[in-house]
Amino acid sequence: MRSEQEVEQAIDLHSDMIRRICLLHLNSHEDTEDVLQEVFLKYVLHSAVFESQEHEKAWLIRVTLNACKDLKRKLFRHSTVPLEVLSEEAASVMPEQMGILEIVLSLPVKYKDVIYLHYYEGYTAKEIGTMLHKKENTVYSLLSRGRELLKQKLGGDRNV
Amino acid sequence: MYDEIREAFDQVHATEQMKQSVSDYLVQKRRKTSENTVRFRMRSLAPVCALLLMCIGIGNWYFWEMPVSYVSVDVNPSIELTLNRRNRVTDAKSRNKDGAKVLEHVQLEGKDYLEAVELLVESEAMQPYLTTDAELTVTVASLKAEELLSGLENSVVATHYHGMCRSADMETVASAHDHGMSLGKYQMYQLLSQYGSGLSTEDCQNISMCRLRELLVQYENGREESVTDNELDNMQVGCSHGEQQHHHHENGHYHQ
Repeated sequence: MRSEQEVEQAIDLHSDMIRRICLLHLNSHEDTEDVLQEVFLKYVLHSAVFESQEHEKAWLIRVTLNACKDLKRKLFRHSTVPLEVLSEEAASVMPEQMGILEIVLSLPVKYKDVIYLHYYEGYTAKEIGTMLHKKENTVYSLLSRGRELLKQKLGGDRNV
Repeated sequence: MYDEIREAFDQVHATEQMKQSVSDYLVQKRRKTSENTVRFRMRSLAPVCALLLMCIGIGNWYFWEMPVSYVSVDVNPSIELTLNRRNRVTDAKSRNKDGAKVLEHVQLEGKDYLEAVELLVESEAMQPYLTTDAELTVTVASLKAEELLSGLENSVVATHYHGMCRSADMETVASAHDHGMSLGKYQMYQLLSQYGSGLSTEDCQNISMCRLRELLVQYENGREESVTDNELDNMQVGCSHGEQQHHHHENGHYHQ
């Protein structure tokens, strides 16, 4: 079992990332809190040593994505656009960025993760493939189609 | 576009409330886990303790209580001693009325078998039965019968009372108990039955060893006919002077 100090550090360092991944999949703050709790409980109980900060981060991403899927399955949630949760963000997100978030969140589920991991977290297609257990070429296809959809939604005049 | 996505997601943070709820949840879980661990340890220790107590119980019974040998003392009083692995008396039972009377006056449990037999034979309650012609018989059933018999043959049983020391097999013990008889008397009954005496176990229970011995001698010397009713009535009376020993033989003690 990990020490309290170690866990507090991880909460400070990775909560924002987990919150963003939850935003892609979940509808409410309560669900996000549930996932945060579950992910960090697994982190507390995970006894293996991480080789690096990056290794730890990748582990947390994978656990968060699985936790989101499990929660959705458990609650029989439909993978609808989580507008509710976005409205909860309205106070903290500037209006022009809110539009971008809405567009990313409105993408089909299969594109959202790869778009987020590539554009925000900066992972390569190969790294995303390892993380999501997908072939590198599949990730390239998903990225390419996701990018096309984003272009269309943003009006086609932007260079993605 | 790349920057726009980054900037948009940069605006999203876990709230302090979310972080706090995670911390609180983990503290609670840690507490429960440690309580459960203690509980689990206690729970897993319980069967171990129970097993240990059981082993101690069985061990205790094995060394101190488990019947290993039986020694029966028959004159007319029939008394049977149960011995543990260490040849100590764990139980003393009377197998007839006279035996019960004698046992009222002696305490044999916990004593070494030799000490118990000597105490029993030399007790005041037993003395009236030990007439000159009383057939004191000590019968041993045990896997170490030889060891027990050699002790008895060097005790007052043989040296002062000229008692007979015999051995019987363990199967005889069960049969004797089934008939409510002591080992020595049951063995005598078996011998007489082989000669066709016609005596039942109930008959034998009421007849003293000296009378049974007299009958056995007759059969050994060639008697063939079974015991008549008249003979049976006479045999119910003890040896010496034709009356019950314990009323009349205070002066006829075999004790030397």
